Amino acid sequence: MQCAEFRTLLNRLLDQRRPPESDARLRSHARECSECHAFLAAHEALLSGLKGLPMPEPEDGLAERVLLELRPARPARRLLYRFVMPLAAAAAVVVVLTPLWRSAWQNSTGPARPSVDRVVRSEPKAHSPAVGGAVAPRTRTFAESGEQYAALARETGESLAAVVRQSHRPRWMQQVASGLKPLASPAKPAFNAVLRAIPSTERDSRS
Amino acid sequence: MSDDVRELVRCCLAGDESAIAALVERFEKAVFGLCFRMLGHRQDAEDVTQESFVRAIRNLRRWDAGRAFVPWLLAIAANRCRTLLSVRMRRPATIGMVDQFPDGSPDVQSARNLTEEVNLALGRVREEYRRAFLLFHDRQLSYAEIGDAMDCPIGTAKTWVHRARRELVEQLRERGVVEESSHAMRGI
Repeated sequence: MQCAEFRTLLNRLLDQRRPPESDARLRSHARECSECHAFLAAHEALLSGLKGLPMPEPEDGLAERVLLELRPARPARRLLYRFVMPLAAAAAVVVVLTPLWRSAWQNSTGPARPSVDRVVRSEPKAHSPAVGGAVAPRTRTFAESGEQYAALARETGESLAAVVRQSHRPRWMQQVASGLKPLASPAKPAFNAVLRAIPSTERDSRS
Repeated sequence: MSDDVRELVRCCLAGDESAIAALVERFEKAVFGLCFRMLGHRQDAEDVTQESFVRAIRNLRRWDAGRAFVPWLLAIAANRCRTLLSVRMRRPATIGMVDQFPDGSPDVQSARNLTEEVNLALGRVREEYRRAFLLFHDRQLSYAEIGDAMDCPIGTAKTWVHRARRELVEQLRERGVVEESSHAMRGI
């Protein structure tokens, strides 16, 4: 037997998971050839060492850990992400858009009953006496302003304090406030009901 | 592949948690064994084993029921190991084996040296060779199954196992490990 043949045969035996010493021709050649003997001994050592490698047992509870990782997020969080968050986003859009829509609608059709912000906006500016032929701005007196606020309060049905407060707000704030008013009262109990439905005290079992 | 594994997989796909637990318990040793051999670190092997099962179960629908299940599962585990090894920048896998052999007698000392040398040599061969070698000699997979697991032709799997053996043997001879074993083989 040649050395090349010896190595081919050895590989074949190992591929078949048969012990090399089971083949008589291999044994015979290994006795005569020191190089092939060492080659065979190295293979024996390798397989013997591989069998001796320590193999610890996997830690207990692997199945439980896998199941825990596979379970979906807890129901409260799922409810939050699936329903509450989109609802909150939709509500925010409504809150922002409604005043703008109301304002546009009022401008196009005209209100049936004058609102404070509309009256304040349509009120002509007070002017000072003319100087040099031109019409110069005139400063309103305290009594005049008071009379105008009282007249607005009577006209709109709002309290005098509310009329004064609203007439000094910026225009955008007046629009948002008037848009929020009809939304606030029905939305409040709805939000309270949603918050009660979320079990916020539940503990996360995965942590 | 046996029909009971197919049935187990079918129950897993239906969302049966007891079937998932049974599947994990049935194959955990095979997966953990491969991970431990490839990574050489118990905690890493535990983590990768868990991650492999989670991935496998989430992707059970992709498994071709006409093929063997174990190579498919081990392929997932081996890929996770490879990812972790690349993160480790191909640091050689070493296993702390000193505590495994408390006896200091010459035979035990010799066995410890041999396993340490084999372990050291395994950490030095190319990753594909090592994986193929371990799947064949340690996990006892056939070449066809190794081809499935490593997504390569059977011939390639065979070549990798042969190269791994040759490289490992060369390393053992270079380090003089074979001399001791050689004395024991004089009788053959």
